[in-house]
Amino acid sequence: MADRSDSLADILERVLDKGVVIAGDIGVSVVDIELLTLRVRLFIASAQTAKEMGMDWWTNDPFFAPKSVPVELDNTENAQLRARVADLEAALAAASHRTELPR
Amino acid sequence: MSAGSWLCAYAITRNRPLALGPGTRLVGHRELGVVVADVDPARYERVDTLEPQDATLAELVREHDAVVRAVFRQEPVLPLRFGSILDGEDAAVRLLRAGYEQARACLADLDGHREWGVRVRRTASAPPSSRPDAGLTGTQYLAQRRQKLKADEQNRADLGAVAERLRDVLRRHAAGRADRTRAPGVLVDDAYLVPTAGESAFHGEVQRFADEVRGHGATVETTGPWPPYSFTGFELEVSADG
Repeated sequence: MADRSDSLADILERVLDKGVVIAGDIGVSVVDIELLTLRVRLFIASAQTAKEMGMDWWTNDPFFAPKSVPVELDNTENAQLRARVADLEAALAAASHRTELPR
Repeated sequence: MSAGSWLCAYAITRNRPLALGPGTRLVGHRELGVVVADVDPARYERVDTLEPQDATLAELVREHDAVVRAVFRQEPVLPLRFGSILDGEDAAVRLLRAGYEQARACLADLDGHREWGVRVRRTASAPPSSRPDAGLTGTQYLAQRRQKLKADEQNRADLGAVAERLRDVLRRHAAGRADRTRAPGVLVDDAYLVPTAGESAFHGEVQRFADEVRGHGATVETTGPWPPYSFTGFELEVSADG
């Protein structure tokens, strides 16, 4: 319970998401507060952040992860497949174009 | 709108002499004042598109917090939302005039109070016993697993009950409580507005619950003292003719 320095997440959440809002036309909207607020809430709720803050309780919880096998999307393979599909579609289009020419 | 005289507004406070950091000053109107600094709005450009952990945003936010805290050490304060930019000193005075009664009443309520954060967070659950399924029949394994799940469930329920008791007790020591956005694994994330005279009693209660909470595989921690950020979530409406 010793005095600790407050974490950046705590400061962010308070400064960006709390405090008196000035409504009206005496200022200029340089910041989309709602957008920022949303980002901060996502940030706080995000698993990645939780992990960085050491709050990733579920990763060690045998109930949630009896034998956690990470299912990862292989982005490289995904990209390769997309490229092949694009190539095939292009080839198909070219082929049908050629067959139409003689008519 | 005037050109080139934008002010960043940080907080509303009483119109009294304040020791402020370089660049910041108080614009007063009757009993109230708003703490401002000259600002180039370009500094805030695209700030709302940044990720919260971005260094630029973090720097601006810390700056804002530092100014609010400097005022808070001397006088009661109404923190303004980050990125409140005013169109010159006239606008600052209009803001104070339009929101005068509301702001003054709120400052009076907050006087002599500080905000404290209280968080109850589940720590990693007990590690599974080593090789629990060695030499067990399927039925025995399932029975053991069921027992374990039941115990976990009971523990969660107990912890939830302890957390609720803690919240009730702390609420009695505070002038107000605000719920905050909760991260995963966090059971309680509250902000309490505590009178300075009652702070030791408040923390005494937290301390008293600490062991019990720990016994259920969780921790209770406090943050603060904070300026009353979580208790100033209202709007001040200021129109051009106000």
